[in-house]
Amino acid sequence: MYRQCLTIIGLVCYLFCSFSARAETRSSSLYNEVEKSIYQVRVINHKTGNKSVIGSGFVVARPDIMATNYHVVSTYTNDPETFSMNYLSTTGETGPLYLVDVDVLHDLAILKADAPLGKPLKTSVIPEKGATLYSLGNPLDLGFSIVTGTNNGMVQNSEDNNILFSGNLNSGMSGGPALNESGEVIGINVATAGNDVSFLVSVQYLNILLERLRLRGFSPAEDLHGSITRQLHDNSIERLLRLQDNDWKRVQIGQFEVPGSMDRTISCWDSSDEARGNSLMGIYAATCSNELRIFLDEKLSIGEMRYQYTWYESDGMISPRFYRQYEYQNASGLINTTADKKNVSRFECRTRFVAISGHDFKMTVCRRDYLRYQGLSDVLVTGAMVAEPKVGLIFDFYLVGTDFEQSIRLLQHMLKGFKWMP
Amino acid sequence: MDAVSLILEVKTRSLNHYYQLEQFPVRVGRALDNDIILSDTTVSPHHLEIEQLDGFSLRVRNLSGENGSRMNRRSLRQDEAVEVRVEADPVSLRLGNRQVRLLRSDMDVSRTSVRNCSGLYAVFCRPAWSLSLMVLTLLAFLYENYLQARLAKDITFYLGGLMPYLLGLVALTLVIAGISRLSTQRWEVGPALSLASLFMIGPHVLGEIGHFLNYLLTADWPLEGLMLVNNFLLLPVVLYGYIRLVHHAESWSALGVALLFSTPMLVYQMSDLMDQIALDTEFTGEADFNRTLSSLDIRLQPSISIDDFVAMATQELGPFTAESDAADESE
Repeated sequence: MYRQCLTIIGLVCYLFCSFSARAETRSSSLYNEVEKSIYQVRVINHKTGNKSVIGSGFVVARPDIMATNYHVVSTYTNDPETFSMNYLSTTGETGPLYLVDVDVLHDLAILKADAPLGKPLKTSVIPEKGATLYSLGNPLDLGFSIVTGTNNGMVQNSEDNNILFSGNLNSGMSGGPALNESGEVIGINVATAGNDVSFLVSVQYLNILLERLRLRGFSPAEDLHGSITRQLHDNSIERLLRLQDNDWKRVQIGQFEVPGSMDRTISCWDSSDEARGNSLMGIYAATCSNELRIFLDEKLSIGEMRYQYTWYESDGMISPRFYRQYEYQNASGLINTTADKKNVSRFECRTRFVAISGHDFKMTVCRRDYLRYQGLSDVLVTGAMVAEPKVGLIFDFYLVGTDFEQSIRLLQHMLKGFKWMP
Repeated sequence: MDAVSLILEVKTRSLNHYYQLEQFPVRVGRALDNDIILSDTTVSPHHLEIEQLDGFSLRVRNLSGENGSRMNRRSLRQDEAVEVRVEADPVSLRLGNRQVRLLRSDMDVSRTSVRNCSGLYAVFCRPAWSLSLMVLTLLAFLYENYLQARLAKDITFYLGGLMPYLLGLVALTLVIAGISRLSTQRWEVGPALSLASLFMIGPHVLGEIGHFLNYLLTADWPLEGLMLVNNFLLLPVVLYGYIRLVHHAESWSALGVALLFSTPMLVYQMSDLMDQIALDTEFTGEADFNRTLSSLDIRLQPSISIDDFVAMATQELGPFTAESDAADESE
């Protein structure tokens, strides 16, 4: 038995070693092939002359055109007066970079240099699941590196269609290319969840962006901020309209049947409080949310949508006592964003009593607007069932960076989907 | 002079002293060879001399070069003599720090302060009321403990929670009764118990009323308003009633004392209010709306349909407001 175990361990080690040896061979040759097309992208603060943000980039489409992530250059786009951008090559050369255009929804940015930078990398289609991928970049400003990993296909249940890359990406590698065995770009490094769980932007979005820019000869966007705002706003409307048209799943919560997941991008979880033995109140909750976070700047990501139903029932409490606890629970209303007064207005709220499936709810809608992104708002809806002596339902609905009117349309749909089950 | 005589009144903390002036000149001072001796350290050994000119006409001479004298608020130089006639209004003098008046014995005295135990004052002076208030206060806190507990507990838990309130009530009663004892020379425990109970139950009752009104009107201002009343009016008003009754003070002086004793609390509440106002003007990411829920569900707002609610929200929150806000910020 003991001997058998050793063999298996030996086998695993052998396979692993032979595999990595093969990968290393390919990765070292690959690195040499593309080395001259990989750069570090740096955002420089004029006031100190020092770099403030670093990421990676690669030459694509034309010798003077570079692709990177939007989140690498967002510090510059949000404050072009204070910041500028330059590149650092693997051989230590530097030079200025200029912004051509961005796709904020897919976290892409296209930059241009004064002089040719190197040979543009070719793009290709995403290989089959399990294929080896090579990701390049400059992690933590420690030096240009190549990371080997595996393609695990499109991320399930997500709106941004990123590629799940089982390899270790680190900060500073953002914007670097992920290559197939032939050295063609199939994705752009964008994020990591740690432990070999990383994400790549699918190359198709880069191709779409490059195609658009090719038509206008890679001239810089005239109203970049306006274009970003439009991208965000259109995307929000499109997303909300799509959700309204879908067939929704339904969930049972207490004596209500309510809308559950609206499509594959929204997943629902049980979030009930673990009941304590001597607790006087039963609490059952379901939370549904998407995983969308569109990066705008370090403090601001939008796109999140979350709705939550919490059912309360009294276990031997008199009604005033139940309501004291119920009211105490009715404290929802904080949206988890770090937006401050430079970014958003104050919340404006309206409260009414609304009859939903024959039961009255004290419903509040709040809205606050983004100051720099016209047409986007945070919407907060919360409602608590009233007039039932010993049961209650609190419904919360948050949308971050969204179109207000379509959000309210979606709310209308949701509320009509509430059904009391006697 | 007939039956009417001249009186010198010396004001002291509890009961004033009166000297009938019969043999002139009368000399007032701290030295023991004076006609009227005032053992007040601010009074000079020989401070004042009063001569009779004719009937109620007097000549008052200030002998003091130390703290001096004032007559009807005018200060007198050393050895200055002033002629004065005592009419229906008394002549006020101040010798050093001591208040003294020259009066006629036929002057009207103020009305007897009759112990008024009717109306709202009954709360203070009837022992039944005092006891009821105390029991009511304790029951209110017991009920509050019961409502607030989130887990099932034994009765001993709620009673145990009540003990700090009982301790507070007893301590407050003793402090109030003790202060009154110093001034009135009587123990007035009943009224002190009423006062202490009112201090404790007042905020609670106002809070409950405010909560009820908040839900009734779907607004936050009723409770906020009542809390202002609680913070700024409750203490002076209850103190005023107590001083009027127990100390038989005139309305103005009762008001003065009530305000004086309330000052530390009022200043504290004022600084708290300022902080609150400063916080309110700060930017907050928190949404501000009425969250009250009530088991009674008594409200003025009717229930509306989902469509009406959506129409209202779209209309009232519809327009994009960020730009006007940004303009406000830059002003």
